[in-house]
Amino acid sequence: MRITVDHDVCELNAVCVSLAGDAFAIGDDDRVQVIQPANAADEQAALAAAAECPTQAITITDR
Amino acid sequence: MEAIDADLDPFAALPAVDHDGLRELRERCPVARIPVGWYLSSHATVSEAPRHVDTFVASFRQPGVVVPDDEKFINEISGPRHGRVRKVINAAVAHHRAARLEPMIRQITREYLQPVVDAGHGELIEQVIAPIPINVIAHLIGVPAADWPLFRRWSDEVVEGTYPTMYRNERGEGLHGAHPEFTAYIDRLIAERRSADTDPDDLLTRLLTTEIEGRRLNDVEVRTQLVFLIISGNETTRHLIGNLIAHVAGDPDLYQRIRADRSLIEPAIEEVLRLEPPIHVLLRNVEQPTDMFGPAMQPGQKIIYGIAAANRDPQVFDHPDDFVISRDNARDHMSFGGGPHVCPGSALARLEAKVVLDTLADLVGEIELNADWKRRKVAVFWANGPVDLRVTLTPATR
Repeated sequence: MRITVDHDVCELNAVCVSLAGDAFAIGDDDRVQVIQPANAADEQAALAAAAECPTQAITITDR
Repeated sequence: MEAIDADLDPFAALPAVDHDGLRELRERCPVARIPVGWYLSSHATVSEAPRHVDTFVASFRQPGVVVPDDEKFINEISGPRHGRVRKVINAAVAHHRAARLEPMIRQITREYLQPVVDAGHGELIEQVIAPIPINVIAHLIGVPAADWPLFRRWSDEVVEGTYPTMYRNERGEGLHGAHPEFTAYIDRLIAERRSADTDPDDLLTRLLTTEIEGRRLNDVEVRTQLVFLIISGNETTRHLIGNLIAHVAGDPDLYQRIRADRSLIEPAIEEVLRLEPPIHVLLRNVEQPTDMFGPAMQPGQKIIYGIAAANRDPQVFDHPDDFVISRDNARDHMSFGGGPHVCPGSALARLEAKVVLDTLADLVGEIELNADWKRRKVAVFWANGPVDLRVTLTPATR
């Protein structure tokens, strides 16, 4: 699974951090950082975060 | 005009959210025609509708009330402009900045709670809970601590009057007309910041220095968004914490379990958010004709997102009226809305609630609701939190 965030589209709603805190974080530079999921549960959470992102800024592809 | 399914007035200030009536409505007619428009009461519709921001545009205003662009709250702005203003606000209240506020929240919670513990009894909304969110938001904005009590009073005065729905109250039109002291104070804060040599790292600086669509926000726009944050960060979080503490005070066994195992605090917060959402209805205007939920909806009509109803939809939550602390889908409630206008302050609200309950568990061994206390909802029509919370406290033994 490969996760990317479009920072031009991202509005820092942080829904991803709320739903998948092991896959997303926000840095001091106010940008969402992706942590590549380590297990199936984190991958599921990341998929939910991508679906629920208010601005649809998260793209997930099979590697 | 089609027949009315439910004679329900979303602007009515009721003494409690009518959960039984909403259950009946959801079972009978989840997309219901009401006199001002439509009422959605199923989780499927209430979670879908907020994604369609061009069809349903946020507005707490009564039908026909027009607000100039500069005085539109962030939730009323649509299109790309919304995103740019939001990003500034979101950056200030999102997870990474909220977490940094924890020591400050802990400190003020102790300061407000300790005297009540020492007295052995008190009214927690006024003495402890209400001051916390407004102090936190004032701190975030960059307001001097000495002025926090003023902020709270003014915020309450703006919310409790007709300004949010009518864009005017008995004093006058617009925010300046409706509450001149509030706007004068904020205007002075902005002017002082503009002329200062240093730019502190706070929300006011960010709002003043960020360019949106090639220009900075003007003073009225900055003032409008500040006031919206003050209102939204104040009232809503107060109700979340009030509902949370009222719930655990009414369930001594739960309170002792939480005291022994603090990992139960976060799931308890989600269940209280679900059962008694601080905002139980969200109001939108139908902006474009649509039949996405079946019946034909027309511009000029209101559409009400029944948050409280969706949160107890048995299609999504088993035993929906019960407090269940270990739900797999505990965060699927709609209490922070959804879509592009989802609440930007959810991380901050959850953090404040967590710190207050955690501090209570540290300082208070037993908490009991006074025998004559009954939960009464505040009069603000969209809000759902207790007016007061009178309790007896026993200090924790160390």
